Order: sequence, then C-alpha cells, then structure tokens
Amino acid sequence: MSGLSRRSFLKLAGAATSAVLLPRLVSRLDSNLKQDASFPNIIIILFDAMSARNLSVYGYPRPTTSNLEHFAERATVYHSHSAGGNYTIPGTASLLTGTYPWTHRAINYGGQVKSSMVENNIFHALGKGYHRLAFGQNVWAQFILTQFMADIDTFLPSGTFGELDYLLSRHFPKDQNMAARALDDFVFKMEREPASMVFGALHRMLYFRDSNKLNPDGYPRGLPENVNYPLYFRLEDVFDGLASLLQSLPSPFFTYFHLFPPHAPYRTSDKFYSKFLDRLIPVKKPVHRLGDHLSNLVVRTARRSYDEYIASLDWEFGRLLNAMEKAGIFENSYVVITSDHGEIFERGEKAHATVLLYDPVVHVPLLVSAPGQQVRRDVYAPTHAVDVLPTLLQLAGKPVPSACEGRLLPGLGGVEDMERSHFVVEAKNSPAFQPFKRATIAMQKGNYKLIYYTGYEPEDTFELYDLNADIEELDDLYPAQPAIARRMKEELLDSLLDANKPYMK
Amino acid sequence: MAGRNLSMIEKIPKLEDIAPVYAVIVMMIYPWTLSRFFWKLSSWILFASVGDLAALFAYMVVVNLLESIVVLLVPILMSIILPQKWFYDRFRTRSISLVLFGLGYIIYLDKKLYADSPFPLTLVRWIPMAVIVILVLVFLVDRVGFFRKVLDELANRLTVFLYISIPISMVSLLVILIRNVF
Repeated sequence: MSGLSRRSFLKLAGAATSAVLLPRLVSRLDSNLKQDASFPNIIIILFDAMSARNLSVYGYPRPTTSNLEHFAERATVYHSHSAGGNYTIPGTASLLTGTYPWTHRAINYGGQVKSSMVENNIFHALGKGYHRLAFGQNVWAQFILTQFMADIDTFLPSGTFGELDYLLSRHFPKDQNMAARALDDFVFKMEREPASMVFGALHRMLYFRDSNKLNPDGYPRGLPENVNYPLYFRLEDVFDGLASLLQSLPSPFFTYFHLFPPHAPYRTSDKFYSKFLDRLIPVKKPVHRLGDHLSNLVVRTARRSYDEYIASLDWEFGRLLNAMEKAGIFENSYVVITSDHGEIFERGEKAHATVLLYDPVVHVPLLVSAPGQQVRRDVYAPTHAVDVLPTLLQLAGKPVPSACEGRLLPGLGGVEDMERSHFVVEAKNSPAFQPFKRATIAMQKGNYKLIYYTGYEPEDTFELYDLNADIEELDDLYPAQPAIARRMKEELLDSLLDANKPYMK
Repeated sequence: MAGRNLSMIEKIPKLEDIAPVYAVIVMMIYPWTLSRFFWKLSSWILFASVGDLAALFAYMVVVNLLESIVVLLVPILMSIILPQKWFYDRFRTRSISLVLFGLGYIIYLDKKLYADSPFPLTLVRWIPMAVIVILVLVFLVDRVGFFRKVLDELANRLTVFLYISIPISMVSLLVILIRNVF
C-alpha cells in the first residue's frame, strides 16, 4: 500500500464497491421486469446551467466544446431550443413532464410538480419495459426526481461518484423527498447559520474538517462542488462512474443523468485553467432595470471561468463518448444532450438567479444522436424542452400522456414549424397555486420573441425582439412593430389566462 | 447526603432537578430552529401544502428533540462522573449555567460558520480553551447567591413549556417513524 494515497485508496474502494454493488442492484431490481431488448436505449445527459450561447458547437468564438462538436457530426442539432424556465426546478420539471411551468407548477425555489401532474413523468410513461435510472447530482433536480421515485428502478443519490457527501436525506430512503427538503434544504443547509443549533454546528465543522482534507490537485480553483449543499466531486470520477454504470445496465434502459456542472461555482480543471485569456469582448448591452447591476469586470471574469469550466466538462464528455463507443452503447442508443436552463453574462447579470429571460438564460443545447446515425442534421425551427418527452416516448413506442404540451421534435418524427409558439416561464416569487402575481414570461413565435414582465413595477411591460435579425436582443421592436406586438401580446395573455384559470377563485 | 459518598447510579440527578435544566435547553434550542422555520415559511407557503408543512415541522422538531437530549446528557454525565460536591449537590444551578454558557458559545460558533466564508479554523482550535472558560464561569456564577436564585427561578418558570414541547416532540417522532418505517 506504500504507493497508494488516501484519495486513491478511497477512489479504488468506491469504484470497487460500485462495480460489485451496482450490477447486483440493477439485476435484482430488474429480475421481475419484462424487457424487450429490441427497444432502443435512451440516455439523457443534462448539463445543469449550460447556455447554448457559450458553446462552440453553436458558434461561440471560444473553442469550448470540441467533443460536443465531434458528437454533433452524428447527431441532430437543434439551434433554437428553449428551456422551460430559467433555473433548475421549472426547467427540469418541464423536461421530465412535457408541460410548461404554468401547468406543472414547479415554479418556486425548492418547488415541486403538482400532485395531479406527477404521473405525467417520463419514467411512468415509459413503463416497466425499460430499466429506468435517475441520477440528480443537483439537489433541486433530485427534489423533482424523488417525486417520481415510484416509477424509477434505480435511483442514485446526489453524492454518487462524489468525493465528499454530507447530505442526510439518503438515509431516509422511504421518505427521501421530504427528508431532503427538511434536512438538506433547511435544517442543515449550507447557507447562513444552521437552523439546527447544536447538530448544525457539528455537521458543519465535520464537513469542513473533511473538505479541508480533500486533495484539490488538478482543480486550480478548488474541487467542483454543489453550491449550498455539502457535496464535492471530481469531474473525472463522475464520468468514469457514468461510463461503468452504463455498461452494467440491462437493455433496454432509460437513464436520466442530471449533472451539476457547469453550474456555478465554475471550477475548471487545470487543463483549461486560464485557457481563455483572449481578447473576446462580448457585445455591449445596456444594464436592465430589473437586473443586478454588476460591473463589466465581474461579468466578464465570470464568463471566462464559466467557459473554462464548460471546456473541462466537454473534455470529460469526450472520454465518456469514447467509453460508450468502445462498449457498443453509443450505436444502440438515443443519446440526448441538453440543459435545464442557460446562464447569462451580460446586462449587469451573471449566472441565472434573475428575472430576465434573454436568450443566454433560456437558449439551451439540444443534440440527439440516434442509433447508427452517421451524419449531422441541423434544425433551425424553434423547439422547446416540453418536446423531449413526447419525442422519446414515440421513439420508444409508448403513448404520449394527454396532458403533454410538447410536440415531436423535427427530424425525430416531427416537422419543422416556424410559426409555432412556445413559452418560457419565470415565476419563482408567485404562489404556485394562485394566478401569477409576479412573473416574466417569454413567448417565441417564429423569429419573434415577446417578453412580458408583470408584477415588478406598477405597470406591466413588454419587449419584442426579432431573433433572426437581432439575436443579441438589443433592438426592442415593441413600439415599432405594433401589429406583431399586439398579435403576440394577445396570444401570450390568452395563454396565461388559460394557465391561471384553474387557480382563480 | 453529605454524610456518605454516593455511587455513580445514585449520582444520577432526580427528575425534578433534570426537568428545569431540560426546560432551559428546550427554550434555547427549539426557538432557534423555529425562528428559522418561520423565516423559510414565507417561501414554503408559495407551494407546500399544509401536510407538507406539518411533515417539515415534524422533521425539524425531531432534530431539536434529539439535540436537546444530547445536550441534557452533558450535565447528567458530569453529575455522574465528577465528585458529588462539584456537580451533583448543585446540579440544578450549575447545569443551567453550563447550558446557558455552552449553548451561548455554540450560537456564537453558528454565527461564524458560514458556508462561503473561509472556515474559521482558529475559532475551532480555541474550542478546548472556551470549554475551560465556560466551566470556570459555571463554578464562579454558582458562588453568587443572586445568580443562583435567578437561574433557579428562571428554570422553574420555563418548566411549564415542557408540557407543550414534549407532546409535540413525541407526535413529531411518531410522524417521522411512520413516514420512514411503514
């Protein structure tokens, strides 16, 4: 053991345990299932907070995603794909239920899909013909996933493949959702002082003692961690874990990997540290009145760290892709790459804790590689997170729930519809089961995008942009294009009224 | 009692001495969490049902119950381990001042232990010294009759809250057990 460091030993022990336990767990869970191996495997890899605007595969000038570009050579690339919301809860819930946030109502920080919509989830719709696995490395994604646990065959805790995990809810397997919200998100949450006076102090001291022992080698800005929750991980361990996990699953399988990076804090690996000390000067945009008014320097520095973190992530994704190809998984699976929301570095804003719904925070990647696909296909028609569920169900030969608000993705059974309307909803400060009082709603129809701000100021306001001519959303056409503005405004307000109706007294 | 040395079992304090000490512990620990519960409530009520809120409350109360019992064990163990004259004979007042100073120090630690700020290692290294200071204070305070009286009166008045906290804690414990076992 002389050449084996403590970290190496722990990694080895963890890998050995996973190697021994995971296949057993999977086969045990699977023993009662009737599965038809002729159905394709489906692998969703979701990178949290990944804006399409910062990916070179979508034309970003910094070379952030060379491996994703390689992947795109055998995939359908959706160039105008929108998230359901501008942070994890609504974005994840929209993707997994195929409904807009104003329908599933998971709109608040720590919020949940309303109980009548829970059965609308993709795991339930796929049914027992698939081995269904979920891994939510983001604790808030895990909140949503724990609502669907009855339909998930293998459920991996957020700390799986991690370096350090002080979350407590995993010790409450029968009541994980409530335990996570009560213990991890309240009593022992890593923000402000702990809500538990004695155990909270102890929990925090032990956590910091152990986190100080972690070896940050390879991560000049510190090990990647789950902000506000006591979880540390190394990108390479997570991707190694995913690679070996995928090889142990019985076909057909459906996996939903909700990975925390490139969510802040942006902890790049040393391979990409200071890689983007270029002279990239983003388009100058006015600070928005509802924004954070951060300085240009803060925003530009954050953007650079974010880009470096994406490049680190992309490098690891390339390794996963190789492993999947070698194992023959890639050729037999639909592989979906997407995100739950984007990240914004402009107008005095950084990250996504914002009420703004400009393109960087809602435009997310969507790339789908079909089994045996050898050529790239590009789709420019607007698509939305709610389209993923019906498309995958159709590919799996399953019926689409009637409550689903999405449609089939072009190239995968659907057709390009440039005039289709879709919505992005930000309403974290509105009660979930009342008509929205304070919200931002963006509606895209064809080239045009209307943004509606309600409840922030005495007067409701609108902005209108032509995304074809003005992707940077600098030229507000709302006053200049009254006919288009009126038509879109009526449609948006009618749709909002319909969504609010069940909650009106 | 002064006439003979008590065995360790005999040095376990009587229930009527433990109750006021426990009342002081409860009155420090439960409101600390409860105030934060109400602070979070404004965001929870945006989406959580009454049942959800009750379950969140139950988890919170069970954590408080467990930590209050752990804290109570400290003076009880001290009473058992230390010489009778040091602690057992003055269990009530010395325990109460120990609890007040000890939990007061933990509150100070809690305020310093922010997630994103550099971890206050120096503060943690000084914990043994703080414990010694607290013990010295406990013995000094107990020498002043006025303080003894105040602590005793305070604890007696707080005991009434046990009639609320204990039933709520038991019901919460039952709720958590049902949710996690059955």
